[in-house]
Amino acid sequence: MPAAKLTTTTVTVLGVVAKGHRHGFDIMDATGLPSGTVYPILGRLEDRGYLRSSWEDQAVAQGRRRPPRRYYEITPTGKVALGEALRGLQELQELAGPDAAAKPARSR
Amino acid sequence: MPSPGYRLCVFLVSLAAFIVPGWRRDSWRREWQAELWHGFADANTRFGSHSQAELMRRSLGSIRHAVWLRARDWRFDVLAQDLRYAVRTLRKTPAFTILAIATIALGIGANTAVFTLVNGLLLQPYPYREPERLVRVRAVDLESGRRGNMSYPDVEDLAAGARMLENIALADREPYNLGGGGETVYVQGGQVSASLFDVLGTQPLLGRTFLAGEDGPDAPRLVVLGERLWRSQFASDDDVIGREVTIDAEPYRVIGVVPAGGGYPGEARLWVTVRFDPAAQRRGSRWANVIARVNSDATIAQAVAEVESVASALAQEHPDTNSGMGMRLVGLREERTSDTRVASLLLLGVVGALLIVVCANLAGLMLMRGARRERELGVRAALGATRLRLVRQLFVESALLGVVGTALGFAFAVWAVALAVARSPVAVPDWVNLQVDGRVAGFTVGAALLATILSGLVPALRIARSDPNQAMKESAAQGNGGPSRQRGRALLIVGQIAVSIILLVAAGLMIRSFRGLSSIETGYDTTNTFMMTTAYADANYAAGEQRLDFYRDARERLLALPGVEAVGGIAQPPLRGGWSLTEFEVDGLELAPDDPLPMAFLHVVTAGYVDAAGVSVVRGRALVEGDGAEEAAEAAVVNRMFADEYWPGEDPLGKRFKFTFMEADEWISVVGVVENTKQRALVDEPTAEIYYPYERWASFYSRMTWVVRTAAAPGPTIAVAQAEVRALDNDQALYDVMTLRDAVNESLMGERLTAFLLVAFGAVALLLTSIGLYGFVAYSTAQRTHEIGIRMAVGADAAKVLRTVLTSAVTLAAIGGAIGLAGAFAMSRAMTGLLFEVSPSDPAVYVAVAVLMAAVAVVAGFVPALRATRVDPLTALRDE
Repeated sequence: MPAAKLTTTTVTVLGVVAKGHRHGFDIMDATGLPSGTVYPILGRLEDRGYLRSSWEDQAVAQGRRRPPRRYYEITPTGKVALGEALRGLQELQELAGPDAAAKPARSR
Repeated sequence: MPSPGYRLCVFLVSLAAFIVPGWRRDSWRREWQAELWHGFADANTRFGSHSQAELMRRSLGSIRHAVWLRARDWRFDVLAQDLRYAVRTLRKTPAFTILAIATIALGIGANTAVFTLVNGLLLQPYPYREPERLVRVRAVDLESGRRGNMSYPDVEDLAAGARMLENIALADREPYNLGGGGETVYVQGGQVSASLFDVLGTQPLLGRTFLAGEDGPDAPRLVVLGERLWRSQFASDDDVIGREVTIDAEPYRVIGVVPAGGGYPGEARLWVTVRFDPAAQRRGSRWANVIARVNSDATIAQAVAEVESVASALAQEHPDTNSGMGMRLVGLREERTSDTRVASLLLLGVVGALLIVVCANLAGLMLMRGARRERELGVRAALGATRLRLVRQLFVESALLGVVGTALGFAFAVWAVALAVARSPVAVPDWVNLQVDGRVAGFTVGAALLATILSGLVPALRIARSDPNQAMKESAAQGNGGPSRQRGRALLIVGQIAVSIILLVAAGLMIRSFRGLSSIETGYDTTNTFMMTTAYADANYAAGEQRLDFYRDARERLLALPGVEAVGGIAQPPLRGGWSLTEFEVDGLELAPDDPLPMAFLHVVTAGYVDAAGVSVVRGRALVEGDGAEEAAEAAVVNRMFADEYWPGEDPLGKRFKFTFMEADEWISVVGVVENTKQRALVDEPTAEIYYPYERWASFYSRMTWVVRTAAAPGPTIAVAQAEVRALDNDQALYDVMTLRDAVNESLMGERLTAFLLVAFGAVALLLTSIGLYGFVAYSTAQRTHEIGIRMAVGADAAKVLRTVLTSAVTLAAIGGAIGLAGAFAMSRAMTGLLFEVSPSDPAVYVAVAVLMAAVAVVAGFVPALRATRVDPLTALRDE
């Protein structure tokens, strides 16, 4: 999969998944992005192979009498892509100078 | 403890789930429900991070998510999977694919090419402001209805008297020698009044157009260039404004450039103003071509009535010149397109017919293919493919064929239009825009879509309707449709045959007509002759003497060239669009007061012309050097028609006539009679002709066309002859260099092109139809292999099988043929105007077409029929 340029929002989502936010609503909480944005991004990242998803263990869920969730986690390729994207953002920050420096993305 | 909020959100998600593609709907719903469950569960605890409103908002996002998934699914699915599959299946049947693509390309290509031409000539608006208000004002002889030019005093009175004409302009076509750097070129120009561009409402690209008062004898010499001339001759240079150029050796200043198509007459590439003295104009001298703009608050009908009343007032005021004369308004657009309208509409009809054949053929092909694939589709349906999915698959296949075919067809169209322009017998008028534009593209896409939907979707729907179980159960031999489907295909074939017959009849009529035209006696001997035209520049040869010297020298030089047998000049070469009809009076011929004066074509020639053009002398002699000398007696040569009409049974030599427009009343003696020739058009009836020495009117005629007869093929002499004339005076433009034979052929170019297109279309239609018929018979025979096998097993012989199969082909051809012949008979009447000495119901054409179609049907049926007779009964039966 060629490393196409990732948008800031995509990098944000990828980043919070890497930090351990594993399911849909949690990722929304972490990023502050609406569900209609987050899910398509998750889908796209999965298509690219940056994320993979799996269902919570059925037995565990049943044991706690709740429906199993779908968990997302970052893949090794995803980590590489994230690192590259963050470096790119950092360079951008340096270029723009401390005055213009703003957080590239909102995080918790 | 499900809360109402939770239930509402879950309901929303389960609604949105319908949008999600089926294959992931379940997991999608589970994911969303789990998230919501947890969200609401948390919200109900003290540590809950979400309000119910926030969760509600999130559940709304599920719709966007679902739509996104559906869109992605369609993108991936249709374009990757269906397309890949379509390419694969199409490649597996190359014969079908090539045939289908070629069919579409041919239909679309022919359509677009002809539509571009028709669009350019008929549909496209002119770049003028409100073109529907532009009219040409013509003088009309109320008795004969003949239309002609106006006299200047009449124009002035019209301008003063007609309130409803906003503005009037004179606009005559006039050729010019344009010089100023390099070789002098010959250019068609407009000699116009200063008001022309105001009448047209044309805005200049650069600089300005003429201002009021910039015409007349004392006006400055200014020129407005047309865009094409500016691009070709002045390299699109913006600095051209203010530059000096020479026009007919006079210095002119360039004041502006007008966009292509923004001027009038359409052929003009530059415009200068008229320089005559209004006071010297006589009412009887009608030479002016007049255009006018009708006031925006008047209707055209009102303007027509007003102009007629002005004309009748003038007729009463000036009975000597204007009695019996009226004025007519002709819409500029009608005027311009009337020549080509019939041919263009015919071609459009023909193209429509071809499109029908193309669609029918495609539909036949697709139906056949669809029938053959019924089992495959049945299997796919049984394995879980929805009907929508199958229809979509087939749609993608036909769309793919459509797109590839359309692209090829478009390329073909662009090429064909370029070819048509390059081969056009006349300069394409400036206002015709033959770019393939958006509308043409739209037409093409529309036609392609129609063809695709007709050919692809109808069979696709039919397959989708069929019961997959049934399709699976049927054997390959039976699976290609019941009798109704067979009937549908037969109907398509019959339709194709009928339309093809109509096309072939039209083509046949046109060929007959064209052959008639080609065999017309022109009166010239066109072997080993060529011609070239010189246009002199006024300033250099203002005096007739100098001009005469130039032409005498030119003729002598040309005559001295090796291999040249005869040289003669004529002011208006035959069949090149120029002619003069003149009135004359015959000595001793009394006319009744109401009789019109006799008219004749006037050929103003140098000595040697009759020899050079190969016109045979019937009696007496041709004009010779010295006949035009001032001191010589007035002498002329007439044609056989002239002599037969005015001196029947008498010796015409020594008989006399005179031109009525000359003040001098000296009689002119006939010294010779020559064969009739064609001056204006090949189809003209023989008309009286007069050959008159050029020298006497040297000051009237600005151009001379040299006709040179050589001993052998003229090729090598042509270049030498041009160099010779240029060496004499390089300021004279030389143009229209061609053999006499080409000139005759070119005069038939329009008819030739129409005939060629009709024949091409007829041939294509016939080809497609025969392929369709062959396919139909071959296919239905293949389906009947089993039946034929049984028949042969129980004793039918090969001849009988052959007859059975052949009969089906011939029956179809006979039904289609009968419909087609009847249709052609009804529709060919519209072609009457295009036909020369051929009746639109010419029996020979109809018989020939019928025989041709019958032969094609027999051949198309024979091959599969023969194959049927080779069926081995054992194999056929085992095949079951």
